[in-house]
Amino acid sequence: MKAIRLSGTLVAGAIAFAAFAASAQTKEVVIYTAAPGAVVDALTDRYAKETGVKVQVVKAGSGDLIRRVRAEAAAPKADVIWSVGGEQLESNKDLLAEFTTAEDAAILPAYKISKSWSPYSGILAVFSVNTKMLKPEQYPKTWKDLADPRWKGKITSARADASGSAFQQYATVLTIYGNEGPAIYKAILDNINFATSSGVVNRLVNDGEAAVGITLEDDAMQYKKNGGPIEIVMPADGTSTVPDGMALIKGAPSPEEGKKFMNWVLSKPVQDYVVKETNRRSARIDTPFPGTPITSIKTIDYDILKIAAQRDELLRQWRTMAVGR
Amino acid sequence: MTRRDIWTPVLIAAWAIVLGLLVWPLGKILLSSFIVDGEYTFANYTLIFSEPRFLRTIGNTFLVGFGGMIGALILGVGLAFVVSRFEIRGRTAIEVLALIAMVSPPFIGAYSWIVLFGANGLVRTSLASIGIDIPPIYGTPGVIMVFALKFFPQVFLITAGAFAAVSRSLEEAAESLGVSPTRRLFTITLPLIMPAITASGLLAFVMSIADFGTPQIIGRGLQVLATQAYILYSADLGSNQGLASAISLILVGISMVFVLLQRWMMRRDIYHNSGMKRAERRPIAGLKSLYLHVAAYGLVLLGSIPTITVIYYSFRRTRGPVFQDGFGLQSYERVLQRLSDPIINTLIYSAIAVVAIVVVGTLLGYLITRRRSLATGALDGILTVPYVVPGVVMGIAYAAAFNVAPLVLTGTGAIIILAIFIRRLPYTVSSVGAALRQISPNLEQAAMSLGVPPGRAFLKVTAPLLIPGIVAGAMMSLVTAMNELSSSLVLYIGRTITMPVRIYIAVIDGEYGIAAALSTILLAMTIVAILAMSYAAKRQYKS
Repeated sequence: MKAIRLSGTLVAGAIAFAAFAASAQTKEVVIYTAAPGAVVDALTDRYAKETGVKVQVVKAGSGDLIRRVRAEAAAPKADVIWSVGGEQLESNKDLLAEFTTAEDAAILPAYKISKSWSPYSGILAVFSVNTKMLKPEQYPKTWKDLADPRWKGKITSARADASGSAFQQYATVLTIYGNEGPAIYKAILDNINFATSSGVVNRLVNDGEAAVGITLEDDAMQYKKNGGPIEIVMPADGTSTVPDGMALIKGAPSPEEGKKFMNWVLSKPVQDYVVKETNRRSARIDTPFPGTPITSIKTIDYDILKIAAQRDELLRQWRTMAVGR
Repeated sequence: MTRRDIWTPVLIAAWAIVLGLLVWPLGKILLSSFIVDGEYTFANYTLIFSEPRFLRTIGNTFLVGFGGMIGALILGVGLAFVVSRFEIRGRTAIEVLALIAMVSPPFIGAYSWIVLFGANGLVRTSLASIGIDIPPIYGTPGVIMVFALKFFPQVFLITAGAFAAVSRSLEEAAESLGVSPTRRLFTITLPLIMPAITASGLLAFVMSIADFGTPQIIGRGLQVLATQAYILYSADLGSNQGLASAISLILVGISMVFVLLQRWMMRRDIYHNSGMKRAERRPIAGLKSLYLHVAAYGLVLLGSIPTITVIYYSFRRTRGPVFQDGFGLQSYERVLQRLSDPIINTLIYSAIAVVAIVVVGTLLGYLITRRRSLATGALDGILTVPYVVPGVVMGIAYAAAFNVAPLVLTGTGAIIILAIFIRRLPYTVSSVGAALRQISPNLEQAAMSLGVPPGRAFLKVTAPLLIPGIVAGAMMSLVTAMNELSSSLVLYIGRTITMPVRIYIAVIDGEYGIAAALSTILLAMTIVAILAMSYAAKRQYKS
C-alpha cells in the first residue's frame, strides 16, 4: 500500500511540478536564438538588468530553431526568434508576425528587406586560414581557388541544409558565378569536410584540423583577437553581407514583451555594444565598425528576397550535390 | 487472485503508463512515416529500400554496429576474464576507471579523441616527431574504435559478474579430465556466461547504431541511419519529417530484431549458480603478470581518455575560445554565473525520474516475473521498446504527442522527466526481474497463506530481499538520467535547461574550454550522487 501511496504522491508531485513550471511569471520573454552563447549571455543579462524582464533562452542551430517553431505552431512557446539568417526567416515568414521596430529610421536601408523580420546585425562571409599550416602566399584568395582539388579534405564548413551561414556561402557562389556557379560550388563542396555546426568551423581551423574554414567574419575574429593562429581572408571575387535577422513569432505568448526586446536590441547603446563585443557589423547607420570598412571589401548584390523564394529548390539541388554525405 | 488483489490495479496502472508514455507518442511517429503530402503511403519506405545511398547507409549502420559490438566484446570480456581469473593488483581501481569511462561526458567525448588523435592531434604529432606515423582517427575505423572503447565498460561490468558466478566445480571437473586451459575457457566457461555476453553485446550493438554524435564528429562523411535521421530532422525543410521518421523506425526495427534474437538464443540457457563453489583467482608472476597488468590498466586508461582529457582541458588557461599556455580557471569563471539553473534542473529532474523509476520499476518487475499472464507478458514485450528507441526519436515523439490539448507538457520540466523515466524504466524492471528469480516465491506465499494481503506480503517479505538489486539499478538510472542528452535536447526550453544540454551548446559553439569545465562539474555531481546513494544504502542495511 505504501508503495502505491508513494507513487500516488509522486504523480501528484509531478503534476504540481509541471503546473509550477508552466505558470508563466508576470514579466518574461522567451527567445529562440542561434547567436553564440557568449553574446546571448551578455545581452540577455544586460536586458534583464535594465528592464527587470526575465529572459528565457533556447539556443540551437538556426535549422533546429525554425523546425521547432514550426512544430509548435499550434501553441507557440517563443516570443522572438533572434539571430537567424534573413533569407531563412524570409522563407519561413508564415511563422512570423509582421512588426516594424521603433528604430526603423536608423536602420541601414540595405538591411531593410522585409516586414516580417528586422535586421539584428550584419554578417560577412569570409575565409579563415590557419597561419601555422599555410604561408600568406598559399592562402586561398577567391571562391574559385577553393574549388581547386589541392584543397581536398583541407577545408571545413557546416552543412548548408542545417546552417544559415553555410547556405549564405552557397548562395554567394551561385550569385557571383551565375551559370558556372553550381559546378564551382560542387567542386568546393567536394573539398569540404563538414563541421558539426557552423560554430565549430573556426575551432577546427584554430586547432589545425582544417587549413581553411568558410565562416563568418565575426566568428573568426573571436579567435584571431584572442591569439589563435587564424587570419581572415576577404574573397577577392566578392562576398556577401547580409542582415542576421530577428522576428516576432506569430501567436507569441507575450508579443508586447517580444516587441520591447527587439526595439531594445536595435537601440544605439546596444548596437554599439554588439559591434564592440561580437565584432559584428551594426544594423544601424550611426554605429562605426572598427575592422576593414565595408567600402574596401568587394561585396556582391545579394538578393535576399529572390534567394529566399528559391531556398527550397536551392537546398534540393544542394542535397543532390552532397548526396550520401 | 481471489481477494481484492493489489496487483490488479497495479497492472492497470502499468498499462496506462505504457500506453500513454510509449505507445501513443511512438504511434504518432509511426503514423507520420506513412504520410507523404497528406496521404497514406509506403512511399518513404520504398524510397529508402530502393535508393543506393540509403542502402549504403543501412550497410554502414550494420558495419559500425557489429564493429563496435565485436570490439567492445573482445575488450570487455577479455578484461573481465583477466580480472576475475587472475590476481590483478588494484581491482577496485580498474573497476572505478571502467565506471569513469562509462560516464564519459556526453558529446564532448568524441572531440577529445580529435584533440589527441586528429590530424593535428597531440598524440599523433608527438608520435610523428619520433618517426611513428599513425593515420588520423577520422573515418569508419576511427568510429568503430571509439565505439569499442566507449561501450566496453558495459560489457566488462556485466560479464565480470557472470565470470565470478561461474561454479569452480565445473571447471575443475574439466581440468581433472585433462582439458587444456584454453579449451576449458571455450567449452565450459564462455558457454556458461553466454547470457551475459549476448546481453552485453546486444547493448553495445544497440548503443553503437543509435549514436549519432560519434559518426558525425569523427566519421568524416560516414553516413549511418542515426546521422541521416538527425540531419533530416534538423534540416528546416518540413517535407522530410516523414522520411526522418521512417529512417528512425528502421533503426528501431533493426535493434528490435536483435533484441528478439538474443532473447530467442537465450531462451533455454538459465543456470542457477547459487550455493556452488565460486571461481578463484590464480596468482600470477613474472612476465605474464607484467603483461596482464599492463593490458588491464592500459585498456581502462584508454577508455577513460575522453574523461581525463576533458578534465585536463577544463583547467587550461583560455582567452575567449582560444587555449593559451599554462593553467587557469577562466573556463570555470565563464560558466559560473549561469550555472544554478542547469545544476538544479539536472538534480531535480533526475531525482524525480529515478524515484519514479524505482517505485514503478520494482512493481512492474515483480508483476512481470511473478504474476505471469498474457497481460504481463505483453507488457514485458513492449518494455523492450525503450531500449532500442534513440533518445532523439523519443524526444521528437514526446514533443509531437504532448503539445496538444488536453496534455500540453512541452516547455515544462515534467516532459523531460517523463522522457527520462520511460527511457530508463526497462533497465530497473529487468534488473528487479533478475533479482527476483534468485528469491524463492515460497516465503511470500507462506505469508499470504497466513492471511497477509498480497500487497503487504510483497512489501514485508520480498521487497527487503530485493533492495541490493534495486539500489544497484537505481544508481545506474541516476548516472544515465543525469547525463541524458538526446531527448532533453529536443524538449528543453530556457528555464528547463540541464547540464548535458548546456555542454552540447558549448560544443556547437566551438567553446571547448567551457564545455570541458561544464563536463567536469557534471562528472563531479555524478560521482557525489553515486557516493551519497551508496552511503544511504549502506545505512539502510545497518538499521
